[in-house]
Amino acid sequence: MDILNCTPLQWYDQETHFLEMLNDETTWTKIPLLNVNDLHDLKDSRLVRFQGMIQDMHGPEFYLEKFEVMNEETKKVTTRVGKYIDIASCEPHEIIDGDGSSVVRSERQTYVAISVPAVNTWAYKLEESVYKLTNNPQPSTSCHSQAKRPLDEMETDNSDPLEQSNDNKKQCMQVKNNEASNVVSQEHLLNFPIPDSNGKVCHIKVYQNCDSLKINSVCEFVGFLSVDPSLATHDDDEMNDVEFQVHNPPPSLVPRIHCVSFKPLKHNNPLINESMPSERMPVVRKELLILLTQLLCGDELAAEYFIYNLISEVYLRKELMALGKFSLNISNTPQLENLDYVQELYKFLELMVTKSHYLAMSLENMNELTFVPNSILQLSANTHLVVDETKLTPGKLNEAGVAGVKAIASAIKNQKTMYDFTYYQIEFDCDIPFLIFSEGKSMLPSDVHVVLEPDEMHLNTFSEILQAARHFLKPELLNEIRVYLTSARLLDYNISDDIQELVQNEFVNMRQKGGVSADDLHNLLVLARLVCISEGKHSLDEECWKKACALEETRKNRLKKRP
Amino acid sequence: MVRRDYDKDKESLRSFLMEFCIQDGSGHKNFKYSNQLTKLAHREQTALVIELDDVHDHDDELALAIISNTRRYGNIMSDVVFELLPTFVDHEVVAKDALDVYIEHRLMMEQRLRQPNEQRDARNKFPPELLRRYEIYFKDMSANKTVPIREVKAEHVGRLVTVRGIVTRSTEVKPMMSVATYTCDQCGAETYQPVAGLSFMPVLMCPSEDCRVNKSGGRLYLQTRGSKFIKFQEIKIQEHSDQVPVGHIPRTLTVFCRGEVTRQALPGDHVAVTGVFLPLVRSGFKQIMGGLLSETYVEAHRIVSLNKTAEDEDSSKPLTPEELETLTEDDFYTKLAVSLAPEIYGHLDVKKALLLLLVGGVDRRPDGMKIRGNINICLMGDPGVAKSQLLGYIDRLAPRSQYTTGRGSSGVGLTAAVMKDPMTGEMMLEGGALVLADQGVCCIDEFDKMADSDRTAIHEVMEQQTISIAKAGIMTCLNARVSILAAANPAFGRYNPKRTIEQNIQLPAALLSRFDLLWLIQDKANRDNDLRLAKHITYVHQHCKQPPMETQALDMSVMRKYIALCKLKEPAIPEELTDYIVNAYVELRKEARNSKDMTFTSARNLLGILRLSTALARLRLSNVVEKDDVNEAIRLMEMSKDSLKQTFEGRGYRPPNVNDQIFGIVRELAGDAKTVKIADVVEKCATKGYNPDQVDSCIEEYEELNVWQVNQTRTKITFI
Repeated sequence: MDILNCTPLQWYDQETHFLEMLNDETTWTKIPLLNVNDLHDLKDSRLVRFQGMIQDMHGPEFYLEKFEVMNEETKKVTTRVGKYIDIASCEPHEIIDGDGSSVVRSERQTYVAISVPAVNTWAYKLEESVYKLTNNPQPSTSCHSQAKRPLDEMETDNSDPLEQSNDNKKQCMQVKNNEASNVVSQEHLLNFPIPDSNGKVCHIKVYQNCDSLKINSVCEFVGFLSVDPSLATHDDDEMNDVEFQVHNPPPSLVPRIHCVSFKPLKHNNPLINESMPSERMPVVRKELLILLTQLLCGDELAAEYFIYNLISEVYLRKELMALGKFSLNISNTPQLENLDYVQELYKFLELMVTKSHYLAMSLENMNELTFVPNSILQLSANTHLVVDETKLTPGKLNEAGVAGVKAIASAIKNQKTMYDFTYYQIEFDCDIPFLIFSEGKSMLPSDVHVVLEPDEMHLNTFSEILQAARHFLKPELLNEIRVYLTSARLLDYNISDDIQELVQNEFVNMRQKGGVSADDLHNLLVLARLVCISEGKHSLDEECWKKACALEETRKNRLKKRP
Repeated sequence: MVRRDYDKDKESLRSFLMEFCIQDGSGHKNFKYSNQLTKLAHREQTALVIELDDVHDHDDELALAIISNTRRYGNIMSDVVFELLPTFVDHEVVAKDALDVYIEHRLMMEQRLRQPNEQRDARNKFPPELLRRYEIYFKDMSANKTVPIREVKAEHVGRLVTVRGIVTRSTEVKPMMSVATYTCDQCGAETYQPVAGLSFMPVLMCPSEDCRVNKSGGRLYLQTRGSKFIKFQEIKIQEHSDQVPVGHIPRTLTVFCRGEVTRQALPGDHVAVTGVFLPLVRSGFKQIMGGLLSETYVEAHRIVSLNKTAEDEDSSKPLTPEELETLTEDDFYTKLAVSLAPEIYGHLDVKKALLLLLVGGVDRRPDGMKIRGNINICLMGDPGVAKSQLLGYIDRLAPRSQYTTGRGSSGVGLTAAVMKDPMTGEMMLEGGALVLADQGVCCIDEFDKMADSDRTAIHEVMEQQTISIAKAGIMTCLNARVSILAAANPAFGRYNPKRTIEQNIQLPAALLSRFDLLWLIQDKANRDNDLRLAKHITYVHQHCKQPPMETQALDMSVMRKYIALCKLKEPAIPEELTDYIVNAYVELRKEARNSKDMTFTSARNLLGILRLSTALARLRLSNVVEKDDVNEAIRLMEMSKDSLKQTFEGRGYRPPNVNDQIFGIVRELAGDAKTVKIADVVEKCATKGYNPDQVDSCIEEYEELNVWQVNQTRTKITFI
């Protein structure tokens, strides 16, 4: 049976059969991807795929899995299925009976999923080139009754969420006029942590295994699309209820997906089909190091740490401890006359990693952006956040700004963000590798602080270096670097017993010399792991350990040199 | 499921109401419900709360039936009461309000005008809701557990559930129409319309016999005075933070309160709500399009304000037998201590002290004097020795706690502030961290950097356990029964063993002496310890989990429960131990005098020992303090003193004697200058508590050492 044209009812009847079909990777990928397609190119109540980050959870919904319909004319009672749909299909002369003997009540959960925030353009474009539907778009068909036709037509005038969310001011105004009665603004309904022109928001209705879905986790959902415009019609009372509006936004803006299956996404790198062979990794690493050394004005040490920051992730959590975090502070950032050094550097970074965001830590930004509760820190795991502290000028930080700095500091220190629920706050885990550029030591905490030692010649010829770097970064190499960075993170890693012993003995010796604490050992082991996986190795060896120790020593000596 | 015989149940309920009684001690029978029915009949009581425990005693099956189909039985019960009430009237009923009078009049009219067997439209008859002035509520069986909001599911629809949560929103109490009464402008007949949902469609045309036959097309007008209104309030409750699984958003639940159940809770209150979980019946358009979905709410029968924090509730749950078993194993004291901040390696004695801080000693109030039982601890140490982590852990573990830094982030600071309400312009008192942590732990990081105003307030808190406020015309005294856990950094970056604690921490001795234990955590190289530490850390990195320790760390919730259990105990110190304690204290004093240590040994230490030993007894869940408790308390106290002293060992350093201390003062006084007047020195030393003889002996000693010279008239000292 054709899974692409399967209806919710067919699915309900042959659930196991279809689920088996979905297990096949090719069938899975054949399902149209909502992220890169326009809503009007997709069919209502057919399967779609959506990659998204769970942003919010609404309360459970009680629905009628099976219900009875009585035909008023013939008095005949039939049982119908209400799973995977929003609106019961019944004729005007039929009456839904929710209390009959064959009625089954069930529960489903609603999650708000948004397109993964801060995905870089190249990753999006690649997904688009593969999954964008090319055939002539068929208008979306919805199975509502005739009576609602006029409503539908009114809706279709502005039913293109992509155009709307292009953030064109004029268009937004127009939309607002059309939906003048809405108390909640469109931006509020979409609520992206970071403005995203390609971003989409879906309400995902999940019927089973809900517990594994956590806030800020990234999953790929497959489910039935539901965009019936009548979902957007409310009573007058409800129109003014903000909460109701947030929970029931127009489906043209926020489509519903009745999820039949989902799986967590470990990465969102479209280039990864199979991970990179480990013998290739040192080669790519070398090229990357050359490139970054040039970009960091000839400072190889900073370039090494830069790479480790790019492949770091939290791999163990216990209470307050988050092992593996590797937030990097590069201080002594050069100030160039006609170039914004950090932004130029960021341009390269965003070409290499799948998810990143640049945050200029200027006074206005800190005072105006929201950091608590729902904030630009609501990012999925492994989203690189580049904080540019060189933009900070002396001035007054208002209350929001202070809270913002605190929120960032706590995210760096514990990899946790606070969400405010009026009467109490709840912490949520996050995994954001921070990269902080500053002149002196950053006011934010960091795991590793590297003082940049820029080469005079590099500084004078930096615009030429940029040119050369762009030239150096040929498409094939760039793609290899992209694959490399993701594969390194996905590598398995372990420490053998004899290396463990070596490490222990070295630590004891270091302690005898003094000036070393338990935290230093943690940091060294984290660094050693990164050194190791950056070389494509699975197991820590003496070489990597020694290298990690040497790197730390050089770095610390540099710190000592500065008062 | 077998359909229940509702007529039989009705009879059973009737007999329950009439016959249920409790026998008190003297054998006197108290007819609990029939007494209340009498009150209902005379309009002296409005709400009748049926306790399901009582129903269960009467007929156990019936109680279960009520729980699973509460609304139906509510109506049956209401009918039963309605039928029974007239038999309970034994004297004239005084009309309480307009509606009573109205009902009375209508009933009289009814009797006069109507023939007994006349057929009438049902809507022209009095609906029972209009005539009933009482409300029926059920109280859940005490054996039934509260259901977490998250677990209220489809199968609970129609059932009586008890949930706990925090009120996040409550509407004002508004009158809601429960029976709409209309009069016809043509025939004058009255029409009644009971309203069950949140909205109703008004009746327009008169359905009475007259109007229908005559086709006069009488219009109906709503009559406010004749209609029945009940109080209505909608509240929203949100899950307690501890019920939210990691990585999830708290759930909310809508609760409808009617009649007597309204005005029971305010936003921010912790409540337990017993009610019927029901789907919301939508009328009109919404019903047509939605159809498949139903919003749900709880029709409240009982709301109890818990006045406790969520964590108190959590810890009040009894420990399971398995948990108790692990707790009563040998050496549970060490085990509990190790379980504190398991990710921080070592520091066992510090952790033991912190454990005692959590448990707390016993408050004493002999003859109106108040001796605190709370234990105050100050952790000092070089930067980066996990002081803050320990504080953070205690903050998370303690059921009530506040974490703050000495610098104080908000304007409220540590104590309290008077704020102006932006809305009303009223002056309000807003509690600071110390007030908010009342009966809990207040963790203060960077204690040394505290603002001066807070520093003075903390003196009072640490001994009297209150905060006095005199600001903006508000004078009051707030309770601050807190244990203070402070962390302080040395003033000079590192702890300097050559200086006293006051100099190191830069806090006055008066404040420092209020700490029962002062602990200096130092980071010193030690081969064995370091190897063990290294093994621990590498294990974590290798296996991505904590290494299996000899004692497995206990879960936080188990710890909380156990500590709550300990706090229930009020151990006393037996007579025969007092001598022992006194002797031990005298020993301590003697030792302190001889060794000239830098800490203070004062009467406060004696109290500290008592506090620690009672806390230890509590920890054993014992009612009596034993000798071992006292020994352990003294040991901890000595260990804490040692932690301050041990820095001298190995460096051949001796604590400065009086002469050295005076020399220090002279040095300070001299500053850059070469000469100092002796009069100044004497004066300065007098303020520090040294007499002129001591000053003289110091001057002589250092003169002999050729550190300085004294002029002939002995008025000036010149440094060489």
